[in-house]
Amino acid sequence: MRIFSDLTQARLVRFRKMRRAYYSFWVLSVAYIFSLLATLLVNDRPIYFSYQGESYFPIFCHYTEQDFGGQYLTEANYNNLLQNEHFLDKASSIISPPIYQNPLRSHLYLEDAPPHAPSWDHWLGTDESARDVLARLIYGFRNCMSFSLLLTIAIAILGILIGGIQGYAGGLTDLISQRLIEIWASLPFLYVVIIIGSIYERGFFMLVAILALFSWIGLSYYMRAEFLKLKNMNYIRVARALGLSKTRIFFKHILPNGLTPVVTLLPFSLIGGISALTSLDFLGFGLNPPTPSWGELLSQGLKNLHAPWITVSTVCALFITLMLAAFIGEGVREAFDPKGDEK
Amino acid sequence: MMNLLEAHDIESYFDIRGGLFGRIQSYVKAVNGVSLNVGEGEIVSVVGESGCGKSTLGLALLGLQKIRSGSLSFQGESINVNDFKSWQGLRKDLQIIFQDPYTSLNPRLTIYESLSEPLLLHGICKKSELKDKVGYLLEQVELKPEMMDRFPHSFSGGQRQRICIARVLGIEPKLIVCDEIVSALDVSVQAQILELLLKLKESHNLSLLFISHDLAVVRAISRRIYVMYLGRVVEEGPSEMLFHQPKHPYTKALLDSIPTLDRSRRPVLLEGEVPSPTNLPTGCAFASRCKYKSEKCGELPQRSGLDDQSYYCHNPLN
Repeated sequence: MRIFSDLTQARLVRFRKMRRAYYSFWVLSVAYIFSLLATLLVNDRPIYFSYQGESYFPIFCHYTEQDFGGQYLTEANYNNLLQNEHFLDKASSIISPPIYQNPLRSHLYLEDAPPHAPSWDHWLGTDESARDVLARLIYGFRNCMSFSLLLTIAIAILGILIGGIQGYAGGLTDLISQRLIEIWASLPFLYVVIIIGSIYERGFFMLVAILALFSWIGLSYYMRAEFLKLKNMNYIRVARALGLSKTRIFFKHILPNGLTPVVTLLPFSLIGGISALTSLDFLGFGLNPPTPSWGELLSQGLKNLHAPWITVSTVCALFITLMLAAFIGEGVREAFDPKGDEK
Repeated sequence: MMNLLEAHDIESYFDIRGGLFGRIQSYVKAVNGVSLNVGEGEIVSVVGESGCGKSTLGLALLGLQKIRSGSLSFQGESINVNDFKSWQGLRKDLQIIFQDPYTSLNPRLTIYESLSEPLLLHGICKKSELKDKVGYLLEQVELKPEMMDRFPHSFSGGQRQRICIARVLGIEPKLIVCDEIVSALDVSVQAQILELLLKLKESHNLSLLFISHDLAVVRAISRRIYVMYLGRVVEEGPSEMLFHQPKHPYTKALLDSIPTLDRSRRPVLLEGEVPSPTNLPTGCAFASRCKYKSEKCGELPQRSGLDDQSYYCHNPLN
C-alpha cells in the first residue's frame, strides 16, 4: 500500500523542484533539530569525563563537590574544576560541548558593566545581565520554534475540527456557531493574555493554549468552505449511500481532500507564531524570565542602544528564520496550486 | 410481480433562506408529489428535461435528500423517511450510481481502497479474501484486476463508470438507481456501459431505476417510463405505448424535439416560459407552454387513463 496518493506525490515532486523552498525547508529543519540538541551543543558543563576510573555525565546527572574531592554537598562547579590542577590530574577524556556557554549564567566576573561587547569568549557579546547572547539566541530559537510548531498543530486541530463540523453539519449549527465565532474573534487578544497571565503563571503551554484559542479562527473559515464544497461531491454522496458512518466520511473521505488550505497555511501560521511569541516577550507578557527568548533580547537591545550586538544579532536571527519560513510557505502554496494538478 | 420499491406522493423541497436568522422564505419545489414503483427485476426509467427534479427524486429515494412528506416502502416494508437508522438498514439493498464519473470516486483512494470499503462495512467478505473479491469485481465490469492499485485519475470516464458499477455491485444490492449514468460519456462508450449494465442486471438479478433525459437510451433499455415535468409525474406507462401513443402533450413535445437526420422532419420545439419551481402555478404546470391549453387547465389534473398507461392532463391526445 502506498503512503501518499498520486496527487500528493506529484505535489511533493513539484515542491522539490522549487529549489529555494526546498533548501529553506532543509536548512530550517536541520537548524531546529540541532537546536533540540542544544543541551549537548551549547552548555557550560562537560558532556562526559572519567574521574578516578569512573564515568560521569554532568549534563544529565547531578554531582556534588564532594564527588570530586571538594568540601560541600552543593552542585559541582565545573568551570572551577576544569581549572583545578588536582582535578585535571585525576580526570581524563573530557568531552566538552562545542559552545561552552549557558544561556542562564551571568558572567559577573567580567570587567566593566554588562552588556559586554563581543570577544573571543563571547562571540556575540553578553546581554545586560552578562549572559552570553549566542547561547540565548540558540536556546531562544529552540523555544520559539517549538512554541510555533506546537501552536500550529493546535491551530490545525482546532481549525479543522470546528470548521469541518460547521461545514459538514451546515444549517442551523453552522449559522449559530458562525455568529459565536464572530463574537469570539472580536475579543481583544492582548488583554486576555495580560489578564490570564496575571492570574496564572505564564508558562510555555499556557501561552500556547491561549494563543491557539485565538488563532484557529482563520483556518476554520477555510475548512468550513472546503467541507461545504466537498460534502456535495458525488463520492461523498456515494459514501453516504453505501452506509459509511459520519465520522468515517468526515475523516477518511472529506478531510484528506480538504487539507490543501491547512497545508498551505501551516508555514505562515508558523511565521505568525514566531512573531507573536517574540512580540509578547518584547512587551513583557510572554514567557517568564529568565527563559531565553528573542523578544526579551530585542527589548534589552532597545534599552541598551549603545550595545548594538544584542539588537543586530537578534534581528538577523529573526529575519533569517522568518524568511526561510516564508520561502517554505511560498513553495508549498505553489506546489499545492490546483492549476498545477493534472486531471 | 412484486413491487420492490414503492414511493407514494414523495415531496422534496429545497429551502430558500434569507434574512438575519436565516428563516425559510420559500421553497424550490423540486419534487412535488411523485408516486412510482419499481418491480423486482424490472428496469424503470424517469425522463424529463433538466431541472424537472428527476435527480432530486433519485437522491430522495435513497435518503440522501430530505423528504418532506410522502411514504416509501421497500420489499413491502415501509421506511421511516425521517429516521437515519431506518435508512442505514436499507444501504445494502438500495444503491445509486451518479452521472459524473469524474467526481464519483475519491481521488485520494486507490481503486482497491474504494472498492474494498463497502465490502468490509457490510461484511461481504473477510479481510484475507478482499484482494480476490476486488479483482473479481473488476473482472465483472470488464476491467483488469491489476488496475486496482491505481488512482482514479489514471482512468477514462468510461472506465471510471465501470469502477462505480463494480463498487455497488460488490455489496449485491437489489435495486440500483442510475442517475444519468451515461450522459457524461461518448456515444460509443454509452452503448458499452448500457450493455454491461443489462448483462449484470440479468446475472445478478438487479432492478434498475434509470434516470435520464436521453429518450433514445431510455427507450432502448426500459420497460416502463415515468415522464416528469417540474416536480410531478405527467405520464407513465410501458415504453412502447408511451413512444407510439403519448397521451400527455409534454410527452409528445419531448418525442417531437428529438433531432433526427431526416431533414424533412424538423424537430418541433416547445415555446413559452417554464414556470419557476419556487412559484408553481396552481393548475397544470405545463399549461404555459401547452398548445392544447383550455380553461380547465387552471386546476390540477387528476390521474386518468388505463392501468397500463396513465396521465395527468385535462386535454389528452388521442
